[in-house]
Amino acid sequence: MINIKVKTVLLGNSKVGKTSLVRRFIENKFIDSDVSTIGGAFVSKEVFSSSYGEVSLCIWDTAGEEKYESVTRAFYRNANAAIVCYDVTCAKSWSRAKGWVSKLRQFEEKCVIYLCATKLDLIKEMSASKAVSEDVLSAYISSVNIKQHFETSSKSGENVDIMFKTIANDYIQLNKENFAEYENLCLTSNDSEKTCCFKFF
Amino acid sequence: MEEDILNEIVSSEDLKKFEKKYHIELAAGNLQRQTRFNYAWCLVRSRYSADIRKGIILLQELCRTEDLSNESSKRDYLYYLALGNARIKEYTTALQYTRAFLQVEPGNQQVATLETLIKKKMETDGIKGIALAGGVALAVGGIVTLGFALAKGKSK
Repeated sequence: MINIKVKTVLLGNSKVGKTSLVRRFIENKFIDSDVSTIGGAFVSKEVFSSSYGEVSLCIWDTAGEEKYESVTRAFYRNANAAIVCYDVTCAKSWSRAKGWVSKLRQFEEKCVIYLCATKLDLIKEMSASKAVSEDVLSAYISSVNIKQHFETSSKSGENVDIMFKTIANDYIQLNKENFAEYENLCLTSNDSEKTCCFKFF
Repeated sequence: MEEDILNEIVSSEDLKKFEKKYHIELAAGNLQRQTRFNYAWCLVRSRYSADIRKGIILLQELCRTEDLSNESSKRDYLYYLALGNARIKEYTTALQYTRAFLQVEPGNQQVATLETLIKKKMETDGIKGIALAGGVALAVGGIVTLGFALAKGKSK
């Protein structure tokens, strides 16, 4: 068995709720705070056990403030997956999200991109309206290579776990052949050391 | 954990890029604060302690010369000063920075996590209790002043 680590990066405008999303996933609680992340914060969590081994998400939760924009590449370099977040009620955060997607497409061809609308509770409970219409959204998603779009609420927890699990699962599915090959290598060698860390770039 | 904020290494691409920008602006007599910060941010994440020390000096300079009203930048400096010091095993100093920060923003999870990591490192390195006894009282004047400056900004 091998330890599979999926490097995942969260990108998006400041105040869209990237840290709240991570804390909901890690601790299963809602933190309503306006504290800005400094640079990038790192967390990891084991998501599930696959037939190849334990799968963990290693997450870089990045600062959304514009002053960090020039250094954020350090966090998404070689990322296996990216969650590009926008506030479901905020048009500005949507246009910034599109900016992150094109940057990722430019620099990280192999990175699998997920779009994540946050604060869905504002629509459901406060009857706020969505900043992006379904038509615009689906046209955009099919025009760029987006793996999946999620609408989430860190407040209620809706779709948060599902999103992170999907990311881990997609990673396994996409790299199945490599894992199988690797297992064969381990089986054919006499080396009993099979607990090595394993990463694809 | 193999990858965390205390072990993560700056890419040579980033280090070179921001170093170059720093020297170009310096030579032109037009050194921007953002450029200084970006370069320092790379240096404190280097694998070489000489680089980290250089980054710490840059951050201290930025701290000293920052406009008092700019709390958001000061948080960044304090955080990376703590991180840089922890990476060169100056744990006592690192903890002074995290404490100064937490006095102003007690609930900051990111800094609390850094503090926990530093304490764990101290334990694995066999340094126990030294910094824990002293706390902020040991902090050099600059750090305390900075803490107060942050506090003032908050209460506005």
